[in-house]
Amino acid sequence: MASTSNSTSSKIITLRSSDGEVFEVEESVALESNLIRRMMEDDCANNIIPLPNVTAPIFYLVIEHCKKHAEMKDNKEKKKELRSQGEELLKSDPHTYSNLMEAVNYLDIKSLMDLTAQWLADFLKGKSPRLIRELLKIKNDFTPEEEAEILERNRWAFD
Amino acid sequence: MKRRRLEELFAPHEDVLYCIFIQLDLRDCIRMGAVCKSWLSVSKWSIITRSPQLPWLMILPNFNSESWCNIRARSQLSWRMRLFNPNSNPIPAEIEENSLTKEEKELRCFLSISDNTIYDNIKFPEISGKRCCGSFHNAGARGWLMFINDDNLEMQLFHPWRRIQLQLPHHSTLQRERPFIDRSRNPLVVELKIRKSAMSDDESLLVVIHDFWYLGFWRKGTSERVCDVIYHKGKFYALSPMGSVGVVRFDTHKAYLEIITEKIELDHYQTLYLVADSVSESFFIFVRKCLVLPEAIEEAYVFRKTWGFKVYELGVEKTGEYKKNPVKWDASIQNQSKETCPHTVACVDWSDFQYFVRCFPDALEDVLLSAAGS
Repeated sequence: MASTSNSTSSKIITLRSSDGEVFEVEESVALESNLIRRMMEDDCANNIIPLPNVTAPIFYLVIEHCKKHAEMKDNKEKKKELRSQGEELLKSDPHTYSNLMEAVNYLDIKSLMDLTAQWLADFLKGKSPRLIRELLKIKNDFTPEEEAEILERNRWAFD
Repeated sequence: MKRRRLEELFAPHEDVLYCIFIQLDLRDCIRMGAVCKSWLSVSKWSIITRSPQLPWLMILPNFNSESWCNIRARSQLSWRMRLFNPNSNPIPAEIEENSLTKEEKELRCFLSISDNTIYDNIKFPEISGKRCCGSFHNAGARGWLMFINDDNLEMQLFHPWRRIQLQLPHHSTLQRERPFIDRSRNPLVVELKIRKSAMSDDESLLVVIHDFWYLGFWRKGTSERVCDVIYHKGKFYALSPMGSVGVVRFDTHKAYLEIITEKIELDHYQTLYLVADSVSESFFIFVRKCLVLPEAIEEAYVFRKTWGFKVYELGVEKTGEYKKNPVKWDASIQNQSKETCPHTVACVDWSDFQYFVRCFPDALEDVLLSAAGS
């Protein structure tokens, strides 16, 4: 484990992802997660905190976003940068984006949850169900009859 | 192998999807429900739990366009001609040429008062050229609208979201207190126009306001003057032109109004609507605030721009009495109209109480719609 002697003001917290990788994160960043905050308050976080629902590559992304989010507070350019990165990820790799949202939801990071949900909502706005399936690679599990019924019931929304 | 294919799918947990869907407007949210099964269940969940979406007001799009002016002129002429000669051809041919395109007649916009969203240009071929004269939101009648064709007085019920139509008895079967001939002595007076209507839960009783704010229902007539009527929790309520709400009572010969609230203070040029809350006992009085557009004033009708709504809530006191609460919303739609179509509306000029012919297809028709798909 790396030494913590160079950090006087900020405590380092050690976390372990589901695939066994160990991360060291500054306390200020880690506390963005309400899950970790609760674990620390309950005093069950003395050693390494296990995160059974988050894999290492996703956790990297989460931390990266958390850091950027902390930096961007008064910085419009950083905000734009973070947003375009998020949208890029959504377009190029929706599967990872979905995992990222899952992880953010599990870790209960409110600020990031709002952001990622907002980006996706903006992405979905005004798009047809067929286009969304195509872009996000979602399988259509309706029978033709079921799909026709849904469209028929709310034709105004699909015109 | 199968597992790997599943992993490639974009499949966030339902809680996560929910966070996304509540940020979408109602139309987008319904659309997401057609993507796949899990999205459908989250979409339904999001529709049910979102803040009240009702009431919606139905508005004709781009009402100040030249073609709508023609339609109003045509409507006026047709009414006048009918008064002089009930058998005359209601549509003067020379005006018909400039009237709306088929597509324009089919479009309606909706303004959701509670979340201040405008849903633009939704197509309804079924109601092309017809005027809305009633909206029902109670029990079995929920979601139905009543339409009348002012040219031939044929009436029908229409469910806009399910797209079902039902034919109603012809207008002439509605009994009136006075025979048609009496009122037509004055050529400026128009008879026979249904303004608003309400339906009872079992769909057996239809109450309408016809002529000039007179209450009527199939089989019986009355001489009460009212400007809106709804059916709510087992009773018909009507709104007097002075802004008092009353319960509609029926005796053997006619319907009359038993006033239960005090008057609302009204300025000039305001139109009143009565709207029931879809969840609680209370209901609302909508006061539509309009501006007269000076450039558009013509002899026979006045153009109005709706710039907002004042809403009063009527709640039931413990004693069972109704009490009018202070203004609940003071919504303005001024800023909305810049990006979308200009929601300028021309309307029936009720305010001066002169029985001139000013009643053309209502620009603003009040509707209460059931939350689509829920």
